[in-house]
Amino acid sequence: MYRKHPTWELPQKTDAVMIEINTKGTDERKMVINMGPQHPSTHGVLRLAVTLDGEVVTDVECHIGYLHRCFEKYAEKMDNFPAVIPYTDRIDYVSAMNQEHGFVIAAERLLEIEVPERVEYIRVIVAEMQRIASHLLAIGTFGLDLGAFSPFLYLFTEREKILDIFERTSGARLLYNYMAIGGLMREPHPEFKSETAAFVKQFRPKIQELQDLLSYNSIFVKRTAHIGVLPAKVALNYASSGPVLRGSGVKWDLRKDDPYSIYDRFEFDIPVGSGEMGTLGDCWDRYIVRVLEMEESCKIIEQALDAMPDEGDVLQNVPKRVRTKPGELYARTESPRGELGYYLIADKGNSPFRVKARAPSFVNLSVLPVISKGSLLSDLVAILGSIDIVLGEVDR
Amino acid sequence: MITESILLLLLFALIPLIIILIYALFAIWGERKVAGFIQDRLGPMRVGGWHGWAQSFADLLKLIQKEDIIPANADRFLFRLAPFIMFAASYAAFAVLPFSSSFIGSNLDIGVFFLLAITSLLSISVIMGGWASNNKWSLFGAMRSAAQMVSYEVPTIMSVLSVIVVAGSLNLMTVTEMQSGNDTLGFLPNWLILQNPFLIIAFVIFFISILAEAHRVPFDLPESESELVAGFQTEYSGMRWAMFMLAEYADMLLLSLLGAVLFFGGWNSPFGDFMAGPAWGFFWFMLKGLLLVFVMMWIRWTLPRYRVDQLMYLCWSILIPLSFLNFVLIALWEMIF
Amino acid sequence: MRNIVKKGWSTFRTIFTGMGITIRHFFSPAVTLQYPDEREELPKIARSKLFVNIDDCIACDQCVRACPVNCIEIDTVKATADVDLGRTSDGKQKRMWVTRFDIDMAKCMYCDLCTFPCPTECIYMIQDYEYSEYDRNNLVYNFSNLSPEKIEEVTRKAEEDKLQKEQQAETETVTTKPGKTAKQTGSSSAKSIPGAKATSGAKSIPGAKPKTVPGAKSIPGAKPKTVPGAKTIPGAKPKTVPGAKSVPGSKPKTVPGAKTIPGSKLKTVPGAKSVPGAKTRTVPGAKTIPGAKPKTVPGAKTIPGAKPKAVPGAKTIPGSKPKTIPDAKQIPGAKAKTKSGVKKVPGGGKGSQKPNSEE
Repeated sequence: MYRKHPTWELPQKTDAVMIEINTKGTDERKMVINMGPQHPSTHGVLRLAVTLDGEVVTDVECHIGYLHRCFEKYAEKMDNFPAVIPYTDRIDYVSAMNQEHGFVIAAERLLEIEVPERVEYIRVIVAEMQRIASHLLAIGTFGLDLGAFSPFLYLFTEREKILDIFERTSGARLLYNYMAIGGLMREPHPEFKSETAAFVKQFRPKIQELQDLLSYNSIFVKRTAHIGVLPAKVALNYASSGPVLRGSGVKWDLRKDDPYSIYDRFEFDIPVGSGEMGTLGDCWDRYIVRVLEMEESCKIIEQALDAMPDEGDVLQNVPKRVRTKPGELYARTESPRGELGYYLIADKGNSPFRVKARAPSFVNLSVLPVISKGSLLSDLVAILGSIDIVLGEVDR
Repeated sequence: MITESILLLLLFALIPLIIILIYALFAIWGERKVAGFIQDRLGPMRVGGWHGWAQSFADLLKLIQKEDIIPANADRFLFRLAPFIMFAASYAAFAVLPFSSSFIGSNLDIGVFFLLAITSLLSISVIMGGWASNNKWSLFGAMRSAAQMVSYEVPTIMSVLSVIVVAGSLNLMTVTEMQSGNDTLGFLPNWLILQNPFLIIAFVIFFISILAEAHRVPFDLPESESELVAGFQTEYSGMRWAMFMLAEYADMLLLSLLGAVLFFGGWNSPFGDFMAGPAWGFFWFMLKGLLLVFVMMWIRWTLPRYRVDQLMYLCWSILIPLSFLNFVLIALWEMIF
Repeated sequence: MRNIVKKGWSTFRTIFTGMGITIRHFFSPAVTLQYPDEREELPKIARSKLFVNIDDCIACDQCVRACPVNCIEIDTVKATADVDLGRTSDGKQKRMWVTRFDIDMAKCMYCDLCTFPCPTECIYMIQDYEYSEYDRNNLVYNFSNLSPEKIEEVTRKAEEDKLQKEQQAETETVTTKPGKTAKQTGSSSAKSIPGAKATSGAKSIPGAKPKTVPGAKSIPGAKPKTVPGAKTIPGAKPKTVPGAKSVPGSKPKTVPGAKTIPGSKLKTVPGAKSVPGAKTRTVPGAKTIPGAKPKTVPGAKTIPGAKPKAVPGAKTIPGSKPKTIPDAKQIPGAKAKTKSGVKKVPGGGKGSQKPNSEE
């Protein structure tokens, strides 16, 4: 029932050639369609080969690699450790600060470099701000996938405020290269504290507005509740992490469970999915976990702003030349998308011998075929949006 | 004599066309402005001076220049035909709308019937375009659209019928005329929606149904861009695509105007005899229609969209039983009062 | 039944709540800027474009080493003892001619890593973000303020200096050598300029001498006429440069705020520089005979002749010379070549006209 496609063999008339295809072993009821790499809701250049029975998804196959940029090879090729940091920005360009944070922590542990107190606080503040920014984008595009356009732009307005603060702090809006091994690239600007505090203060009502406009909107709930249910057991089996895992009710957050940096000093909750609107582990749960996490991030930022020392040189422990010591380690941090791990091996020389990035999006994406079977095509879009992948991170 | 009448006919035919064209250009611009304002933006600002009012004209110029691409294995005849049928269908339906007390394209006695019948052609053109494109996404869009439009015609017709029961005529001019003046209390207009409490429910059903018929959010499944790329229009480009766009906006206006006639007194002034007359009638008629169009836009930029099965559930399990029940209740009300 | 009503009611309630929020936004002012008319002022540390204050550059190469993407390229020539290059603004002695300081902003990833190691803080990010180009080659910014002739000169000087130190005693009669080199250059240029071969040294030599005198200041023009090999150089420039780079109408790249010599503003075509440099290198013999000005050998002549001329920083447009000097016509290929050179060769831009008029 398929028409032959190559045009160079075809007569130009409409009576297209019908060719015999071997249908043995295939189901004629089924249709395979390609979602992506150019598709509005694959969040980049993901390609999904979707087998459909009517509108019901019977199989999903993810084809990745369209955005592969050889991060790991580049990292080996660099002359020194600091030169890798701008590349970590580009792994997950939506949450560059968290990526830097992860890599810097790994490198500091490997090279045994102490970090000043003030630097730790600033890092935590910017990392949490970035988490908010990243979740804002995730939530906004999730709404966009479901057809709600305006919330996306309202959230973008908020994200823009964060990016403005980052721009004044680091000099860039998206790919900051702000964290250095042992410190920060530069002092935050003088109004950093007051601006951040002001942002957090005005941001809280916006979360409430989002809840009214989108989270509890009945159409939105209808589109997300009971959809793409990911049971906790499956999530653990697939090594999911971050909001995808927490949406399934598993209270696992590296900031609490394997504290890095100075996260053990702050008081905050780990929101988990509860199946409030549908089944535990559905799209709505994954979504609401992100919304609630933004509130928790606000709490962390406020505490960090209070406790942050005002004096101190952020550059004092930054080595002029980073000299490696042979060794290897795995350091993991909680990025907005889940467990971000850097596995570093260093031998002689100034550059890392091997860098392996464990990208949460990549791992989380692997559950997509499992949880989207049997759903409708529209649900597939919702499920994909709720997993919140960043293709830069999936492909690296 | 014959030529004169033909010329007159052409003139009468031309007026709605001009109205549609001007409306469509400004509605597209207006929709973008509404979207912009709702989203804390300004929308188009550059073309033409004041708030970019000429943006649509610039877009139209651009679309005219665009290459007309027809996919290699498309059914070329149907592919070309579909936009025209779609536009013709929505254009033809304007014939029976009473724009003013002195202007109606064709004062048919079965105006409502004609209008509903001719708009059914829309779903045919959508299927035609979707099928002829030879694209899986287009096909999906077309199938969804066909199912949606066929389903939602039932509640639309039922709610329209409720009005007809009250009004007692299929002629839209008659329906409008009987809504003129003020009601017995003397300060409220004599609109049908205010005459019968169940007609309010009928209007709600009608409005939801026309949202679905016009493919507006939350029922814009046939062209839901995040799932189906652009639905049945995926393969269309240039002026053919513009025709679809035009027809879509014309359809939106048509259904809104129908709503204005059936529920809000058509060209009647809301202030009784004040600001009444043929010219004012046209003004009120368009204003009422455009207000409904604005509400449609407002809804579009607020809500997410339904899923295809939920759409069908809403139609067959809720709206249709409700509209039948409502129909019976209205009939009873009319019998009693 | 009750459940359905409840559900229906909650549907309407949430929808109206949402519509209430959007209509509130409808009447609230826009948060956007009308970009080309209004713009946000970027903070001073915003990273939009690299800029090099070449006067302060000591050519330490630190930025090149720090760059993760190798978008900076620096060529240096050691200054001879008789030249004082001056000091940077923070008092460091400059010892190198920076013959090339190219930054490819198409490659740059704005990481700012190059600015930190700079000892004189001469490379830094500026807040200019509107510099898109139709051709990515136009994104190669050249910050060196030396003209091609000057580069050639200092290169030769440095090599002479080096050579003198190495082999001071050595004196050679160069009759054969330059001839050979002339031939070599001639042959190398043969593919490029059809006319070049035909106008062999024979023609150029006699005519060249007298010409060089009036054109003394104008080095680039002088050279082509005198020596066939030399002539190939201006001609070679456009050739070596891929046509894409030399967009006919392309104006020299202006570096904002560059108060450096106008010549530095010009977009330098890499090939242009390399050719003269290559020549001098290929003709080692020529250098050894500074005194061998006599016309004996075409190749030899041009080089010494070029030296004195080059000193005043003569920057006449190569193309302009041929027109003024009748002999230019003698060389069939020369006119066309140099003309094309006008457009394409960096020296041909408007920047070079200024020094010319000063003379």
